[in-house]
Amino acid sequence: MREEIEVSVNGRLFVVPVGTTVAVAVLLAGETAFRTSITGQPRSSLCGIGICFECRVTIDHHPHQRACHRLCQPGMEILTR
Amino acid sequence: MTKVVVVGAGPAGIAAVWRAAQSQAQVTLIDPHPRPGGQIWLHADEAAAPKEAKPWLDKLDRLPVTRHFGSTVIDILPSVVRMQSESGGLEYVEFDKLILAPGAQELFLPFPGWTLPYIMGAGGALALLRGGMPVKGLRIAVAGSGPLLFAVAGKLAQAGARIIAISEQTSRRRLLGFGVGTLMHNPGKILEGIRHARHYLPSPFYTNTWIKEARGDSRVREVTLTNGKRLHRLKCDLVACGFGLVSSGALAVLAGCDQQSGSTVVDRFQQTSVKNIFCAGEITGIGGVDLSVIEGEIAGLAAAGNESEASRCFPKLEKQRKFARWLNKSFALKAQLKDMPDEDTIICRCEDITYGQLKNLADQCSAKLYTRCGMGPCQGRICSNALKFLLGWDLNTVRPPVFPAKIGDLISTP
Repeated sequence: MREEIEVSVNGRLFVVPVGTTVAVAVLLAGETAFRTSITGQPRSSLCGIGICFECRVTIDHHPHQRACHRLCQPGMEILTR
Repeated sequence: MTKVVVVGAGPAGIAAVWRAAQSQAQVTLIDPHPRPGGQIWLHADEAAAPKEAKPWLDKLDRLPVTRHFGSTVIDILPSVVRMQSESGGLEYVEFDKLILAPGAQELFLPFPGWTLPYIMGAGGALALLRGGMPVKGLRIAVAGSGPLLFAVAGKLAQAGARIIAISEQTSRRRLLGFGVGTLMHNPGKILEGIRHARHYLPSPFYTNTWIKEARGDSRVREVTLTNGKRLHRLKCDLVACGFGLVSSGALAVLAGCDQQSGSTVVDRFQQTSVKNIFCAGEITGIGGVDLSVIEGEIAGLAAAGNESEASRCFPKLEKQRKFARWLNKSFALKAQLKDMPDEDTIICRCEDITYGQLKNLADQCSAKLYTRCGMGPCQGRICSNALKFLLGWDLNTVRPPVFPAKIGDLISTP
């Protein structure tokens, strides 16, 4: 059994296994859109490897973080938009 | 002591680090991911590392190497790389020899609806699965081209997904030819293929077939496949779609290394046209993990000045290159795929630029000037490869920072 940690996604708390990426935490939270495109479309993770920048979210008040590149840390605050 | 900096901690990078360290070089390894392994050996934790990766990851663990994970190289100067750490701060790392092993990325070809959430790369889906994405019970269409599709279908099915279709654009004849060639040159890969097939069979499998369109609301709900004549409309929850791999060459282009057919040109010691820069792995052409490891070994040895040992790897190299040529021929993209996007299909996802806005422009430079295509956060990494295929445009300008950096950081580290 993998150890678990708690993170918040858009203000709601979720428990995820250690080693979960932020991108996966967003999906586990049931969010389908990570960001809104400049013409207002919902977008989510495309490449999964940090090059497409579609999974940008705000992590602990830092905007434009690539969710696929970051691992969840205890108490992390994740915001999509 | 020769200072060797290796960029990329995938198979090629790890092999390069090992061989360079073994040859008494002082080695620094930089990778943007939190852990080593690259895309192919990506893993959520130690226990989840793929079996074939373990010996290499263990080897790396024991080597006296300076590691910078979560760090992205944003610029290359004559004897120093500029890198951005996870927290955003910039640092310089000096080198005598630089080995670039940034790997490959998927080729994404746009089709109507491809920007909907839950349409992701085939490799992208695999990366998210390894990051913990739950797929149990999801109806997934796997589409595009290349052997990666089978691996992805296998892994997704193994994790409980329902593979509702595997759609490969190449013909049945070419695919069979590939199977025969693989059996001759690389029989181990056939066993690997069978292991994957065990999980996704008996999912419907289509050759000579590609995506016509996807529809949905807040996420994808339906995908339509076509062979140019018939349509297959399928309800789905996720589309995993990639049209093979292309070299991630931005850093080599930035450093001024000669390019040919989308990859960086190297000599037999993996040295580029820039004297103290070496390239190894998929950046020199798509050839798979076995070729990447050998190239990494050669680059590591040669960069550390151990050319005699490096030359012992040449025979293995030729065998793998032959397989790579066979692979690339078998999955060559058919011209009909150029008709996938319609006027309103978004090509540049950062700036939301449509095909209609681009297709009558002269080249990538005009596209930038008139539309901002390729000027968003991804810096054209996604659209430029698509436009190369669709319109034959070449993107040959790469400027620092190659990944977005804060202006405050750029100013404060001169």
